Amino acid sequence: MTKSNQEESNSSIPYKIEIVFENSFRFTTSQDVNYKLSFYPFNSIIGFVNNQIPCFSFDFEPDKKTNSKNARIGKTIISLIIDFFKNNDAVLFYLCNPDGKQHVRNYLFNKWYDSNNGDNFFIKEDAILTIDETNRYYFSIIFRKDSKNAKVIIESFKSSINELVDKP
Amino acid sequence: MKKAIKIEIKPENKKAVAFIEKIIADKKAIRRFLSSGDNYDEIKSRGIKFVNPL
Repeated sequence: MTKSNQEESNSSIPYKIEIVFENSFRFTTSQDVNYKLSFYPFNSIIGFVNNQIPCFSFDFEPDKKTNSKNARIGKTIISLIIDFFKNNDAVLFYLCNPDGKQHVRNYLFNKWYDSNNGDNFFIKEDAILTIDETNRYYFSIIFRKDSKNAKVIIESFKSSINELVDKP
Repeated sequence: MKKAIKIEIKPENKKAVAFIEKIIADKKAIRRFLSSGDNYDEIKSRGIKFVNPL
């Protein structure tokens, strides 16, 4: 990494965000990598979380390989999540894309979350579901810290997990 | 960093395997829909309620 790139990636300022359409955003890094992030309704987990609470998920993707150490990328993504929760008292479901590198994605997302004080804004409950060595899934539910549904969300998340685990 | 809840399931736990497989398939379909918009019928058939943003 060049000195200027290093300074750039250490910057605490999120990248400029462009709205593509409702709940879908784009930003371009200084290395000219385009990221797209979309939030979308995700009813597949209704029942797992709670029938009455709006469920969304989100995905983000760069259009080319990029330097994951660039702190501004994480800052921008976390700022988009914070903005999402300003308008939605919902549950956000995050699943690390299971492409064989999900443990790296999980580590990186947690690092972004921690280094951008995610705990100040929302609650993140993480789970790792393992079927065998090659089938391991990292997922989280995220919701506003001040959500009026916080207690119900946590209780139903934990009880649904208990439903899933192998019974003796 | 808070510790994640660890869920270990056996492949024969059909309910849990079906749960995660459905989520992965739904997310894959949604990702394709968001990038190309060419599988709206698949989205509908999966029961995903989605307002077409494209």
